[in-house]
Amino acid sequence: MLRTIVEQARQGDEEAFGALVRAVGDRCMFIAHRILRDAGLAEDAVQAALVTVWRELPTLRDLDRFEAWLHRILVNACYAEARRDRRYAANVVLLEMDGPASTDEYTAVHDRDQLDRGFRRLPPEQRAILVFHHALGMTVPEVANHLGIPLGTAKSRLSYATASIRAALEADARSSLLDQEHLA
Amino acid sequence: MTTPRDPDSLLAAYLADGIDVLPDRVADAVLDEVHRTRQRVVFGPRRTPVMNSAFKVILAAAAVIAVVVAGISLLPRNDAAVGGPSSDSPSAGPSIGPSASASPAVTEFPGVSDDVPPGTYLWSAGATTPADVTFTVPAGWSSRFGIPNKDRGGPGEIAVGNWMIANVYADPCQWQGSLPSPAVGPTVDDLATALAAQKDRNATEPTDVMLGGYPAKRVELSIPADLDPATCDDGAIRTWVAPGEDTALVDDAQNLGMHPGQLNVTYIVDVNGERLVIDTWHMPGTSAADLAELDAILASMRIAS
Repeated sequence: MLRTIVEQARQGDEEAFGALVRAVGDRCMFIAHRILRDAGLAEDAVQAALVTVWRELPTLRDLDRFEAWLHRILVNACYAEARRDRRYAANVVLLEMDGPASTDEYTAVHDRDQLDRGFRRLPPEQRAILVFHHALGMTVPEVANHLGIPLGTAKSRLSYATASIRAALEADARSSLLDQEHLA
Repeated sequence: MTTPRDPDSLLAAYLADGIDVLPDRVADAVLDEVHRTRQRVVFGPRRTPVMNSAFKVILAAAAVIAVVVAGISLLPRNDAAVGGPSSDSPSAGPSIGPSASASPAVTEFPGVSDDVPPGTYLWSAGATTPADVTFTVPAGWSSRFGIPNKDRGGPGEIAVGNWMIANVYADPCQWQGSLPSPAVGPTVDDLATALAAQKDRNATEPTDVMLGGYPAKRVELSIPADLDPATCDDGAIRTWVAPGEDTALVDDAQNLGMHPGQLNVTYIVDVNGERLVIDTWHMPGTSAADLAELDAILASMRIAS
């Protein structure tokens, strides 16, 4: 079904492209928002990517590779948005107004904040790897294929990003421990 | 009592949270823009069958002339410029200025393709280049890992790739433990010196050139023809590592184009204080025509500011 729509859109059928946008738009937003962690930037990235997809569709020879091709264009659009907006490195944390009700909830919110800090510090290339691997459940070779990067680079970026996230959590654990010692 | 803090599960939970729906207004904006946007016209193999022989000859002749003209522009000159605008280089390529941003109409160079359509392509700024790079590829080239190449793995292999480099192995064969610490310094000269000092690379003295509109150092390197990669660490020849790369995991990218007998011409470009490495390589069996095509690709390069 999707293949048929892609083929029609490749022939210049705008109506088919509309159907294609409806078919893949949510998935694109899912990916872009997780890489960029900003609704406005993600919307801009998806819009730029989908227009690029329309313009470049005639160059896509293997329709079976549409999804990987789309993802590559989308991720490049995310990189471009991240570069345009340096806020991606900002150290902003939004806490729930009501606050957590229990220790576990407190820990969960606290961990999420630490993750958020750590994630926002990562370059967009490493964020993309984490999103494709952890949120989309792709294997590392699949991620490399979808992003159009060498397998070794995908492994390296994943390793580096995971280590950074782990370090952010561990640093926080150490500071919590120090706080507890000071309070004791 | 708190729950265990497993980073992978925390990360999965964190990434599960987010916006999952593309707003209608964004979809509408896309379709509105699409209505005003022409699709790219493809002159691909689908048209080849209707091309008569005479036209093929004319097209081939035109391509040869274009390559020769571009090649001539790369011959050694006093200013040693490669690519970029130059007052004495009318054949320097399309009128994209070196400080202009890449046109949105330029397509990203494909990650993998056995038959890249001839045209102008883009390496977007990111992990492998600090700025957008546009370049024009003639017919007959392939892509592997986003690197234009011909005859990959064959006796006439030729390729040109873009890299950002954090450190350089002192010994490309016995490379384990040969990464200098601290790493090679941040300047173009630092990297040129480190490459030129690599063991058994028979490097030339780095020379000043221009590439894509920016100053660069040019270094010629080679890999000994009698070097057996099986005798090297992990059976691989390695030259450098990218920023943030875990050297224990580096494999495919760093081994790409590392063959005994290979000849490299490496350009280290100073892009407003950031380093971009344009590394070309070929084999002794690479044809003069393919080398001329490579020169034409270099001459067409434009690096955005």
